[in-house]
Amino acid sequence: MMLLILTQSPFVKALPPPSKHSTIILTQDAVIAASIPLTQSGYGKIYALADDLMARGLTAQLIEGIEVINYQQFVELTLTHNPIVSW
Amino acid sequence: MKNLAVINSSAPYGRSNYRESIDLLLANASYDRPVALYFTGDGLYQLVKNQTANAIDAKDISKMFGLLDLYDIEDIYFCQQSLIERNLDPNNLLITGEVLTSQQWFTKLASSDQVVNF
Repeated sequence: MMLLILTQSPFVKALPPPSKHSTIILTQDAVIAASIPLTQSGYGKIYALADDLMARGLTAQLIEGIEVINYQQFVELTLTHNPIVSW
Repeated sequence: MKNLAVINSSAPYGRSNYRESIDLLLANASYDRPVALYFTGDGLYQLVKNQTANAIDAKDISKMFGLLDLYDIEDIYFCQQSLIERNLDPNNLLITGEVLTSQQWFTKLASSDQVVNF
């Protein structure tokens, strides 16, 4: 399973093409995607980093199907996925 | 004195634009220069409530917007289309502004002497 690490707003950089073989982690400005209803369909699994959501006040706007994780879980995902791609 | 328009078009906190913008705005306003603040695109995310930027060791922008009142900065404009695209309610943001269609937004902006986009 491939892991895609996103760092930019979905309005700045287009999201990767949907694939059931991709796990996505939303970090930094990319957590904006966790508040946009269009985001979730078609991907294997989407995670968003808790601290980045909190910093931007977006925790309450989280759309369904996105799992919030901490840094330790982030690291665990990098150990269970291959390859890892900075998107 | 020439008036100044500052545009906030990028999200906090990925880059430092959001800080430079408010610094420029307040510095100019403190010399009684007429200033206006325009929001479009991801810049509107700067106004989302309940930000806790210390979670990522950043300087919280939300406190800075409280200063706009103090500096008598009242000309604040939001791009309606950007709000809709982002599912943001203009009545539930840190500050109030006039919601303009993109056409009106640009018409208003065009009346400025100088424009700086962050």
